[in-house]
Amino acid sequence: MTNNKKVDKIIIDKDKMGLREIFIEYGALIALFGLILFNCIFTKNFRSLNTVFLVIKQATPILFMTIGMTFVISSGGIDISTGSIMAFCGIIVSIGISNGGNFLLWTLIALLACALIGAFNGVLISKVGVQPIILSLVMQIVIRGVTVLMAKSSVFTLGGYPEVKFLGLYRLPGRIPIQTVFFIAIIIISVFVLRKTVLGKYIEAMGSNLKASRLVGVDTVILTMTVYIISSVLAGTCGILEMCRNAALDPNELGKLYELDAIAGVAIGGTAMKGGKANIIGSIAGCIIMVLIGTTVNMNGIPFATANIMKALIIIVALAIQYEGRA
Amino acid sequence: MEPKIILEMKHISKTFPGVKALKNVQFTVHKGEVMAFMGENGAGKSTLIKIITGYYHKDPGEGIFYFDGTEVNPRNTEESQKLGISTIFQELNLSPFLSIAENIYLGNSPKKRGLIDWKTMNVNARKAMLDLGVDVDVTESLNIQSTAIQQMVSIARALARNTKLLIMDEATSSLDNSEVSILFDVVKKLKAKGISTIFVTHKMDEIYRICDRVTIFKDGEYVTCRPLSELPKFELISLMIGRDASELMNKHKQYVPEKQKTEIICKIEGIEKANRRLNGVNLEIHKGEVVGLAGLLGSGRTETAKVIFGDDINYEGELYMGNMAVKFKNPRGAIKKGCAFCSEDRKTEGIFPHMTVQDNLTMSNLGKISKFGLINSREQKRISKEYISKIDIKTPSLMAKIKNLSGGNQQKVILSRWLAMNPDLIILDEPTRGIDVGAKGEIENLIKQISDSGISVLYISSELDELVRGCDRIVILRDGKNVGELIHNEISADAIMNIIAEENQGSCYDK
Repeated sequence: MTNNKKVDKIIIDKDKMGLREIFIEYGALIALFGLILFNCIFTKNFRSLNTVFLVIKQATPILFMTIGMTFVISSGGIDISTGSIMAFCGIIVSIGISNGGNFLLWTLIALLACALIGAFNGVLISKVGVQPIILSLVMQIVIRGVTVLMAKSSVFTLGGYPEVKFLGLYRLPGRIPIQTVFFIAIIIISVFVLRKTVLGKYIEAMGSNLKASRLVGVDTVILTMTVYIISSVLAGTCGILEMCRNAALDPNELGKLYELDAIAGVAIGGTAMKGGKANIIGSIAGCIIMVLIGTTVNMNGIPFATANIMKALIIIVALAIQYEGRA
Repeated sequence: MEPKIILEMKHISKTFPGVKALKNVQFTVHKGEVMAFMGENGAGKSTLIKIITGYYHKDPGEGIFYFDGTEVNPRNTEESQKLGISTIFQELNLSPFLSIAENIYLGNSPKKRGLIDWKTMNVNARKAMLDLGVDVDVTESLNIQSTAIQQMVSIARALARNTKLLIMDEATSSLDNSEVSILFDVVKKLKAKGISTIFVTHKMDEIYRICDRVTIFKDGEYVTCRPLSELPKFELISLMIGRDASELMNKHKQYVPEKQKTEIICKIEGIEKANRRLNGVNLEIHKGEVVGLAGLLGSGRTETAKVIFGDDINYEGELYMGNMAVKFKNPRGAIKKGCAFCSEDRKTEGIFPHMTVQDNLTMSNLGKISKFGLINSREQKRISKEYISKIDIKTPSLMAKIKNLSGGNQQKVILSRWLAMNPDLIILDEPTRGIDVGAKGEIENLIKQISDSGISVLYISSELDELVRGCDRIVILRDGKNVGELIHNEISADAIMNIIAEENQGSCYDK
């Protein structure tokens, strides 16, 4: 029996978190605190409530997309069409309200349209077996095209609509921007869904082992559809929030390269890029890091292009830590 | 005159994390000899071949690896190819859109002033193919050729590299009978040229047709090496499965005749598949009965299980659960009707490696212990704890990742996953594969407990002993058909092997 005890001990040793695991689990949070600390010391005017509000205001829309991306990536897929979906969703609302429609109604219609795109993606990926990256690349191009056509290439200025103003500029008592509400709500909901619900477990299970998840009774087709619907709807919400923040919408530009920031946020956050493990807190931290790098660069008067180089470095470091060598 | 030895391996071991895949293996291949490697799945044949071809490395320190008179230790496949060792796999690793000639001389093409000398290449390629008895246009692209021709191309490619030893790993499994004959003619020609072949297959008759000697492996250990002319088929099977007919211990399960009279839980009739892997399988499983499914690899055991569990929906025939005819769309449907299935491949079809023991254990049960999609985590914990203590799963905590558990404990977690669901029928496909001896015994006991509690078991195993010990009834399959059934006193490893071998005798070829 001594042999058995030995085995047990080895198992326990293995379960202690190594430095690498700690970095994957909490690396994004550590980096975020590092970045904040750096700014507190070196950036003028950083230590003020206004900066916090500014960051929240900027981060909220992209946070929605990053969380959607966390769902997709942890399920074993990827969705790079989300930037175009943002603009697509925004343009439907813009057209609706500029023709005298009700803002809320058109928001619902637009989100429904996004959900349909997600469902379509999910079916093609799980039933037909199209590669997620190829499919969503195609969708990125097609949806951008449809959006520009729908807008007839014109830029919408939406400053006059009270709902847009409200969602973009309203401040709660204490000068807290309205975005804070969405910021907190989406964090609570997504953490809850991924940690406490069957859906969250199934998504991780499917990303961890597709075949096995089918064999324990997960309907992988429905689940894949659900995941891509979540991603599309969150991307659509991101579009509407961003549109309101800008009080304008350029169908050619809105959301361009947002999906890359979202993927980067997920990667930094420690979600396994091959699927199977969602680190939602990490994604949130990763998303804020992405925004904060921009803020840092701006506030220090460094050329904005530098921000992209910094982002790239951070992503490479994050992926290098995650990389599991051939055992 | 003593024939010249081309390849000699002695005391070869290979350890993977947690598993010893090869233990002190030895064998020799003579020049111009056709050697067969046999053994059930997991016997270590593939690992050994991968060591010979340099894909894996033998454990350092021990072991001798002599090739063509010198000690070698190829670090990668390229090095072993340079030595003169080539492999033909079941899945061909050729480039489908290049021409036959290009494939033969890929990376080895004749050159003229730094450019490929197409003329010489095509002429040589044609000659090489004609040597193998194949008359084709070598400038045609490869993907329009039949599998057999593609096979020939890979052989020609091996020969173009001055091969002294050719390894064929399940090379015939995608060929039809006439194609196999062509391949065998080629092997005979190579033999005349003094090129040795190692032939890995599960097909008994082919070995007797073409091979001189056979080396048998079992559980990563060398069993024996014999000339095939002195080894009857029956003995070969018993060596492969690891049972010596004389030392059979007839340890039986307590037989309960009532079990034959209880209601039928599951019945299948005339299950056939278009690809001929199943050619009419019939099966009846009573409540609380353990039905064994025996047969060699490729006899249709796993395929049958997948049909019952709704994982394979392309079949003809009838499936009944209880009295109802059913046709499942996916495993989810089967699970709803009270079926459970433990796959033979725990790693790729069983565990969720990065998830916790608790999540793994309750995964198929999450629907039941949740309300409005919200998991009742207290219940989840209770079930996990219950099974961990009930069937003695050794894990540091509920939250440990399952990939860090031993194989036996992983298997127990997966069994618990299904038991917690309280199914009517549980299908176990090789439940003891890759598990050490102690845990094997525990799993066997567990299966007995399962059936005692009224759950029916369909028990698939290559280990005849296990089946003999654990089953009320054993159905034997061969080539996707029922070929026999044993009940009660009739059950013995001898009897099972007789039935498997009888069928083999029928399709015997003259060598």
